Amino acid sequence: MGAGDRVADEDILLRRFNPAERSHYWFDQEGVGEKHFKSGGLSYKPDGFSVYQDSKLIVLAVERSVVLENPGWKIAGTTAAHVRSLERGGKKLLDAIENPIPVDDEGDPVRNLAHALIVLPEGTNGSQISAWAKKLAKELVELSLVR
Amino acid sequence: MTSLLEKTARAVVTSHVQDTEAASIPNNSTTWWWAEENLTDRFSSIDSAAPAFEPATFADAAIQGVSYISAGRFACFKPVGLTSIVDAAADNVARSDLSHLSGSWRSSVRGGSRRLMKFELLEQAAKQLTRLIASGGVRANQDQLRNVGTFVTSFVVDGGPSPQIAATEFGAVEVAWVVGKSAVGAIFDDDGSYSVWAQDWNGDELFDLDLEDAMSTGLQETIAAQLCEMSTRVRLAIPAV
Repeated sequence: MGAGDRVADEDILLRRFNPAERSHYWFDQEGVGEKHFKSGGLSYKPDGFSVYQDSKLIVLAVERSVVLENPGWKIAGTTAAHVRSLERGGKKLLDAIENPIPVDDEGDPVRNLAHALIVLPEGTNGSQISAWAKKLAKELVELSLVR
Repeated sequence: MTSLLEKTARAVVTSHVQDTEAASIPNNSTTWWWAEENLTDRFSSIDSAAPAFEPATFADAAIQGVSYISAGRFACFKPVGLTSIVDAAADNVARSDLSHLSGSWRSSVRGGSRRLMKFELLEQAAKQLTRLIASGGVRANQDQLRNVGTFVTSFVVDGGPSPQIAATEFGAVEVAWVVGKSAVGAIFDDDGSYSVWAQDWNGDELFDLDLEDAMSTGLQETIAAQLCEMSTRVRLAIPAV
């Protein structure tokens, strides 16, 4: 399995977010603990939404916490199958592909090897990417850092 | 024996039912309607009105939609068995037990967490948008901002949830109201197109539509009704920007 290969359906895709950063989630006015992940917590640069494969982290023998930028951050995620099942306007356009980033230097984070992308068809415009980002963000749920 | 308060509750709810039928608003389990009403004028006090319209006091799931919000100014009704609604409201008043009122109701009635008026919510929204523009997160496209303003102004109501405004990675403006798993939102692109979406209190999607022209009246009513339902469950104010 390598760059460009489709991520297995059952694989969990992880995305880090900062619970103190308002651009990463909507504030729940009922206040019952729901965390509404926001599209601002996703990054589409340059070819897809950046995520990490949980199965790869397991193989690398590292904890989920390695994907965090800072200790106070948290993780949200869902399965690749669920991502592929999302539908807008009668179309299911999202896919998940492997996108490992080479770890050449000692200082490169090992998590790079588990990097993956949630992609849209080539030529999708910014407006549609925004709409799909919103759709995807709504489906991400906060996950435990400990498996 | 029927108390005066019970009679009053029956009269209030019945009058709403009649008004609704006269207006030919569809009466089914998915259609919500709301009516502005100053209930405090009809009851002897705000506390005496509360038991009739506090959703938490209704044991029958079919009438959970009967709600009372915003210090007596609004009432929301879910027309599922109108006769049951009248009976349940009267029964609740007859019990006259204020101890079962939720904390959120007590705080909103007694001043612990004042609900914001429409103009305050709009001011809050304007501040968020101004901050986004100042930070460079949103391009100051006049058409786009006008669309955002029209949308927000159309659906903000006294005592309702606060519109939250954010920028997307591609310069679009996203607006959302979020209460528990319920949410209503829209994304406005700088080319004039936009999409609107909503999910119900189970988090299930109600719609997610791409639009270029004005929203249909039906869609506007659906959004207004959804926000009205959400208004009954607002407990927290969004943090100041």
